Amino acid sequence: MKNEKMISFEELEAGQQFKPHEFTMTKETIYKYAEAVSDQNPLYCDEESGKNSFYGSIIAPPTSAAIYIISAFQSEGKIPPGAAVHARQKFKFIRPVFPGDHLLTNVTVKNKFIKMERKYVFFEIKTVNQNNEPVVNSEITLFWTQ
Amino acid sequence: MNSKRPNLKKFAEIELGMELPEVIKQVTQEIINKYALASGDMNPQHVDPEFAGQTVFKGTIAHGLLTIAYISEMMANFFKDGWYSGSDMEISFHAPVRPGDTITASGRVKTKKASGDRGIITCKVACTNQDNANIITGTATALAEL
Repeated sequence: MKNEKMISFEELEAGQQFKPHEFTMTKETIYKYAEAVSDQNPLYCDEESGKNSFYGSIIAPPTSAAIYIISAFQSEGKIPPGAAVHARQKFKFIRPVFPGDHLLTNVTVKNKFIKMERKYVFFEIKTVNQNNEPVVNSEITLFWTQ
Repeated sequence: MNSKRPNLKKFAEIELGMELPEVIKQVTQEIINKYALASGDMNPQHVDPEFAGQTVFKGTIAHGLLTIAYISEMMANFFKDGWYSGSDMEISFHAPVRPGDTITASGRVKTKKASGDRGIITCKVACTNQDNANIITGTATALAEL
């Protein structure tokens, strides 16, 4: 991976918004994610269990928000070379995400700072579903490794 | 959602200081690669040993959001439908997870309060590695049935 494909710390500024990112959640995405995190919760993986649940369907694991948050970070065609180490993260899981939900994620740069010679960027990320209902709100601080 | 009632833990059965059953996971480079594919985060810091060897981490590290998924699994196992919506978590990363690490997600009930027709339970949560070093610490809040 070449550096020009990465977002530089210098090019980001407070208030900056990334291009809004659209994502459709599918059963296949949910199964693949659940397998990757070795979580065989039947509410994520078994259609019959989903049908018999309060939700009436399988749902996406709350932390699968990572999928559309990461895609939203890449909506400008570059990736942030950030790691989460030495940083704080906050997630509010407001509504479950169902297969077929069409999600829109907005990433805003809230702040950037240098502490102990390390570069940090603080992002606010908000995702809504096709009914414009909030699904997940998060605040993610990344430590720039480059 | 349908007419079924949510499967919630009973507020009265949750005691302060109660420990949640731990979730233990072995993290390998194969798991990191699988998570990269499932989440779409192909940052070379996670999947390219040559690139990662030249960064401050001197090697590949797991995605922060993979470790968070283990906390989420623990919360869902205990709180069931009280975790999938109306919940939140706030955590700090202290150290990276490297291939070969064994991660234990643990939690303990810190506060409980009634709000409207639901109980709100906040737990202290953490992930530690095989050397008992803190990887992440923080809080996670779920709902319970009053």
